[in-house]
Amino acid sequence: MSAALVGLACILGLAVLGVPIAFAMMLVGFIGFATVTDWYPAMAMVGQLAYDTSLTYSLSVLPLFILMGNFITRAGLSDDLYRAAYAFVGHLRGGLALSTLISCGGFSAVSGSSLATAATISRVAMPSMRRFGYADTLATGSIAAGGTLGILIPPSVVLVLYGIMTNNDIGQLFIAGIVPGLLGLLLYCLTVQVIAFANPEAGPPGDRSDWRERLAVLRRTWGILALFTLVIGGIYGGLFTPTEAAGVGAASALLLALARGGLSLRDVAGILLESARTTAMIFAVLIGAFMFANFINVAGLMRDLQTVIAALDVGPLTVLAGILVCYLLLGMVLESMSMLLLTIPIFYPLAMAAGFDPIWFGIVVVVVIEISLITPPIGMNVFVLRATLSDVATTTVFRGVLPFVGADILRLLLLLAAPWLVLT
Amino acid sequence: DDQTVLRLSNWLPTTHPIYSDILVPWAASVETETEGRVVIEFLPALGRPAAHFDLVRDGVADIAMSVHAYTADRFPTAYGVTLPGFADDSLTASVAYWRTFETHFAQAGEFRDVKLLGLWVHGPAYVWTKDKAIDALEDLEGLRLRATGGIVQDIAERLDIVPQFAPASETYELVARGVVDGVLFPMESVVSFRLEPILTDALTIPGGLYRDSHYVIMNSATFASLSAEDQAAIERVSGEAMARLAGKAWDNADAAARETLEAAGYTFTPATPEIMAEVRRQGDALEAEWIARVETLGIDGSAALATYAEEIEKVSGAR
Amino acid sequence: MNRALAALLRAPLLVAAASACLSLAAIMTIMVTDVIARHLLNAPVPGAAELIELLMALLVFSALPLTTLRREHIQVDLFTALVPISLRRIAGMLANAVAGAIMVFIAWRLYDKTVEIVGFGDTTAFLRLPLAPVAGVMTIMAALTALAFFVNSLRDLRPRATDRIAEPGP
Ligand code: NA
Ligand code: NA
Repeated sequence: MSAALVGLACILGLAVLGVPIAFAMMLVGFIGFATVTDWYPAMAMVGQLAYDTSLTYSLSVLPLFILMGNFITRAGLSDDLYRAAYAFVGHLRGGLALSTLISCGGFSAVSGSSLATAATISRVAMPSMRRFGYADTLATGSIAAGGTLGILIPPSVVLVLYGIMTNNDIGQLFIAGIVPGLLGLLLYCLTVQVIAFANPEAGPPGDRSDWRERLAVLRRTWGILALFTLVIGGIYGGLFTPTEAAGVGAASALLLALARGGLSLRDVAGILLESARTTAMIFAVLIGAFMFANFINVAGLMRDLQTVIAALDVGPLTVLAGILVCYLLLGMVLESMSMLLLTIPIFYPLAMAAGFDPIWFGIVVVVVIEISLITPPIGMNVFVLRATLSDVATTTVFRGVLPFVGADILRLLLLLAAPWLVLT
Repeated sequence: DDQTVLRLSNWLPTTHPIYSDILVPWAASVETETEGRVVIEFLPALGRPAAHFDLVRDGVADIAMSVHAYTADRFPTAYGVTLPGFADDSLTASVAYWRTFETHFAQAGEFRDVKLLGLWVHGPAYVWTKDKAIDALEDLEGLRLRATGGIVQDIAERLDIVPQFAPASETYELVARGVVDGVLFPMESVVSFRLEPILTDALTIPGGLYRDSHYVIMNSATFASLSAEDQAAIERVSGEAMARLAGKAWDNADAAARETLEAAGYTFTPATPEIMAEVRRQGDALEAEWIARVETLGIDGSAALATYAEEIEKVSGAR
Repeated sequence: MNRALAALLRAPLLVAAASACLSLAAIMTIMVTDVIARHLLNAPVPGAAELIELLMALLVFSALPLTTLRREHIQVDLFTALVPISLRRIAGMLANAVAGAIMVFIAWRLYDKTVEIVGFGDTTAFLRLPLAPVAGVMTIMAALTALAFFVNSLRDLRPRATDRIAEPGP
């Protein structure tokens, strides 16, 4: 138990000094493993995992879903999505923020990443909210929060990683994420309504569109709808496996981008290379996480945890509350994906020992990870916005997301109170 | 304290009979036999299934179970006992395999870098399909079946079956979505891979179409570090004793699976004489190839298979 | 010295970029071909899953030096954002050097693994493709990644002098 915590502290220490978290996990995993066993086995373990991890068929979903999202971004579908949402709800109070959230939700259905969702939608949503005089807090807050939906509404890179680390069915996790994802969208929209009614200056209404316009712009979003239907429908309609769905999705997104024109061979190569680099980044963390997990396992953490829980004599809900509080605290300072990979070896066995459903636990973990994306001081979605908007202060964005964090906490409590919201 | 804890890296789901009915009871018998001085701790997998030979050899784990076919190039002798025919159960073939290994295969040195604790083969494998009984040899032709490498691939190709390679984790998806027409599996695996609701027919082949072989190994240095007394105790419950334990466990699992499948209304079609003749002919051809292959290692393959068949007779007679 | 380093790295980085792009494109193509051929022609791509596994390793390791050179690894820059630029530079130099050393170690472990695979003549289970070339590429790319970390470390030390080492674009 203490060995695992010392290891965790060492990784955080190295990370704070600027060592990329993947390599901090490799180093601590190696040294920790060596102290429990010996140097030779630790060296062999490192070689084996570095060699084996990427040679995995089922992990090919990661680069393919990333590729799909990048092609879609390049195809400019996010603009159409935003325009369609705007045509329907733009005239309401806070209407542009609502349009932002709804287009984030739509884009999430074809993107596996929250950062990609936030970055893509901010390009189109921010200028129009500026034009209508939206408060910077509400404008940036709704983009940063809306972006977090990217990892709960399928497809989701984080859910794939959770499935891989814990040996759970990825297709099942995807289905389980849909209702909590939509619930999140609904609560975010309510949050905007509350803000806009309390302070009408913050979010004035936009122009009203008539039904002809609405249908015209709605028709332009068929691409996203078709892709989502193909990917998720294909999995459940029995056309292909979840792994193959990623390949079909990426290829269809490429065709869609080509059909919309303006995509040269050079652009395609650029998108391939960008997706490959992101993949390498994720695999570095994954390899590090496996090495750290092996150290945790040989250090006998599971055995110790069971003893501790038995000795403390606490109920499963207390265990879960403890885990969630840990996630919320870690989520303040850690990047979301590496946090998941770092903590799963410790928290997953704990939650299973407490008798929770593995799919449900996965969804709950992703919801707290979504929160970590927008909480200070390290909130990746907030940073993405800061990178695209040079004139907004980071503190403004963090102030803007605060009400949405409240909505997220409310959703978390709903999922705890009504576990059936997660379809398992 | 003076208790030695050995780490067993387990990559199987804890519901699998190899885990619950072979490894766990064996670990318990090690603890009993050494009077509690040696305890086996089960860890979640420290690497991929195929890496487990290396993991144990290098001391990453102390003990592990794995499958010869995952790294077939390293275990050429095992192929012989996986050939079609020979036995209708796992117990006799497993015990016979252990004896054959000791007298014929050990000299090939495949396990020289580790301490070999046990070997076994699973029950006879059959052809499983959905809504399609195999009544004639032609029915096998072009049939797309999920398969692994090694003997499964070889015998399938020779029977004009189209083997579709897929990782174990993808099997259910492939069958459920009709990507493949069926699978090649022993009785137990149809149930443990949750295929029971989505398949309907079995072509049963006396002696089996093939049987896969598995092994359990311990790190050499770890074994050497134990007292002579504890080494002897572990050897008492390993080797032939482990083959017997594993064989019984597989036979029980196969029998239970058969009951489940019969209750589910499965049709069991025994292979026609024509199919049997073809299986025998192709099996003989694979046997000849294998004998030539192991001859280069100084192993007399035909003598080994004669021993294997003899020992199967002996064990089944003694039962 | 820097000019020499730039010239030395140019070709390997280009090869790495090409290998990463082609591997990803191949994974997508094989998967889609497999699905289509299966539905339309009742003939799957033989051993598609095995080919994809090998390509995954090529994809990940070929892209790793490029990810590293562009500093796209996940980092916690909490501390470094709070301290003066000179201190930040020293921290960056040290952090990259540490990561580089770890990659040297990983490359060495992969080299040993490659030697072992060559020794056993290991092949894939179904198509019987040799694994040694893939392991070899992984080793070389891990070494290149280590080099990329050291370049980053140098750049933190002397920001301007090493600007010449450009990442290959599309
Ligand atoms: Na998504
Ligand atoms: Na945070």
